[in-house]
Amino acid sequence: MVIQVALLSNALTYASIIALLSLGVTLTYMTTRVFNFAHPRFSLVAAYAAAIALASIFAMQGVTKIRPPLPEWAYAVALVVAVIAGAAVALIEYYLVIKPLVKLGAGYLTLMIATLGFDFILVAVLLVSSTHYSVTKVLLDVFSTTGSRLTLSGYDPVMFAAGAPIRMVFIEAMVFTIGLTLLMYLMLMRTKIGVMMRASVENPSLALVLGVNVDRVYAFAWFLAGATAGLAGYLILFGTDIIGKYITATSPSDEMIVSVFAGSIVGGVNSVLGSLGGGFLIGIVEQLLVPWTSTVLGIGWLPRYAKMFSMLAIVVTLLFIPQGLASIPETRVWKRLVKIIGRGGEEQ
Amino acid sequence: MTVDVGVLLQQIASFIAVYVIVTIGLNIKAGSTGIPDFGHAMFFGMGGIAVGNLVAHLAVAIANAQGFYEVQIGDVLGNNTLAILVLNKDYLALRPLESIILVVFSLILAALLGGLLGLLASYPGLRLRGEYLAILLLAVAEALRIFTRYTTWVMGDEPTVGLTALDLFAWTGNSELAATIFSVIVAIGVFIYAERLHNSPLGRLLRAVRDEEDAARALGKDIAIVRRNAMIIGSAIAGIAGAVYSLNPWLAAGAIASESIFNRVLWTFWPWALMILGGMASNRGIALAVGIVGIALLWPIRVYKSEITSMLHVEAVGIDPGYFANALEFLLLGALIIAVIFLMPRGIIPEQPSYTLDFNRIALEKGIPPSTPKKGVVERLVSRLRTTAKKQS
Repeated sequence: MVIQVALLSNALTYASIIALLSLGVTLTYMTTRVFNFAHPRFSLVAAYAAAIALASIFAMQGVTKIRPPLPEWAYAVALVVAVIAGAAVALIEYYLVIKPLVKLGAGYLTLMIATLGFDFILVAVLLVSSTHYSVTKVLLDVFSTTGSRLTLSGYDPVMFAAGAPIRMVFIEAMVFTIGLTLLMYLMLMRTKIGVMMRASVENPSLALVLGVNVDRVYAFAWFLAGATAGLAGYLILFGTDIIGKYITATSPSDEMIVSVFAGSIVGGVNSVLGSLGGGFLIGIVEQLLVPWTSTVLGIGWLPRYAKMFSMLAIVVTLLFIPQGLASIPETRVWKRLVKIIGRGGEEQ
Repeated sequence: MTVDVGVLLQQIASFIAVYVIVTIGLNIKAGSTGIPDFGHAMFFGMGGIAVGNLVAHLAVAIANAQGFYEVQIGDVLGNNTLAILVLNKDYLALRPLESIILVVFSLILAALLGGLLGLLASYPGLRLRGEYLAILLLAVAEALRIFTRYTTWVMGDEPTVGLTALDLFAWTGNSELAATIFSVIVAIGVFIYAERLHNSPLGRLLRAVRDEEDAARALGKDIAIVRRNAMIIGSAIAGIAGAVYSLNPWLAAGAIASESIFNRVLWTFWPWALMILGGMASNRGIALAVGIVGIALLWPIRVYKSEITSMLHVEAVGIDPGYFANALEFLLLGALIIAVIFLMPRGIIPEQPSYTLDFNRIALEKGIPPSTPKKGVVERLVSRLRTTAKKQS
């Protein structure tokens, strides 16, 4: 039972990370029509920034070899730094690469390749800065970890509820995803910036005529994408063991990128809420459904191919429901379901 | 720092050869036909599987048929490293004819497998456009990478180490040099083929489909078949590149690992960058770009990373030299891509107009009387004046 709880909470955490990153991919695709290859890397930048900032603060206070429960403010600082770092990188990419290229009239291919180029530059910057001697020293002194193999999952507080361990990352992941879903819904439907955003997605030129600063709206979308990637980076930093072994300049974003795109596409690339749902679904399928099916059916080799299912999800979605889950008319599905259930009841 | 010039030259030549082939394959799909193939690595990987798995089986079968029983068919995957080493040393090194036949078979099988996968991949390619297709192909390639990585009957028991490569040039005595020469010859062949394709009616048709689908359809061309053919040709060439890579000791270093032949950075993103750099649908531009990158930047950096970083003294500013060396390649590639997109969006050598054959030559071949020589400017002016005068009267 205890193991089951850990498995479930880890899978949900993983699914939340994928969902958060899918949201960013969808936001940038909706507004600027570019699939951002660099997006999962934003979360790594955020994770590194948060870890280095925390380590520097502790080092300035003269604390070394700190023991697991960090003071509460430390988590808050890490979260804020991660969000700021993610948003900053996203805005840098938007203003330095995407916006000038859009102005030059670049096509979707050029934009995709450009994000790829930006991603490589980010990798190089991460490789160099994360292994800088001063960074290595401060991380080793404070957290006994290094920039080339970063993890702070040991500092993640664990609580016990009815004998089952519940990790802080899990609670935070749930809060982030559910909170963001609500926030995004409220923002898009109830606030002025949300209406402006929807207007500039649906008809940029008309929105421009009506006095919407489309460029600023796009920048805001990139800012949001970067900030949510920062949230994901925070979760990756304190839940590294859930996703992989360590954080490096390339991992775990390179492993996650296809799942993230899958989440975005399965959710329907033009639906913000759909992307959260799609990302969550992909994460659940990879982490829960495939292992469970394999134990139920007794197929030992299945979990190794778990990641393949998210890729197949892309293929199936694009070929059969190209507008994604968001396009399925839910009222009709509900009616049909009710009808089926109702008929079943009559027969009995 | 001592540099063996001969070795360096061979390495650069091998690098340029394999990248020319793989990028030209991509160019036929993406540059000429406009199919955004972000799954190019999977077709390349097919070439590796053809050599590492199928041709290895074939080699053992031939050896057994000739009375060489030290290696059995089951050993190829069951006891891969030892079996292939024995085969390389005791059988292939002494058999030039069989080796040459196997080389030819490698290329044919690689092209067949790559083309077949291209045919399969073209079905979604007919339904989807633009970035959706790009993401779809990326996902399929990743799925195949994971599949081959964990499937023992494809890539053996050790996915990270990989299958040991056959040494089909051992009989020459210097297999590295022979493999380099072979790679260069194949690259030149592919280049000539691509140039001829570019100037052929098929090449013009591919670009017509890319530029104006409706116009091509109005002229009675089946767009679906054209796109499918482009996928097959480009993917088959990528498969050949995979075979060349696997047979070249400088590149594969004797082991064909699923992680390296399906690597999306090396065999999808690098060819894309090189194609953008050289110019879309421009074979000469691509050859030039690969040459420049290979000679000036990449291969020396990859081989002499540590020497270069120790020369730069990065540790003086607190940067770890080992990681700096790794970062250098990424930085170079990223900066190169973005700089080219901004400064030379059409590449080093922009797409060339296709050269058609001289009309009189075609006429001569087909037995049609040659056309009258072109009129001069004055004569043309006079004849135009005459026709207008006729119309007015």
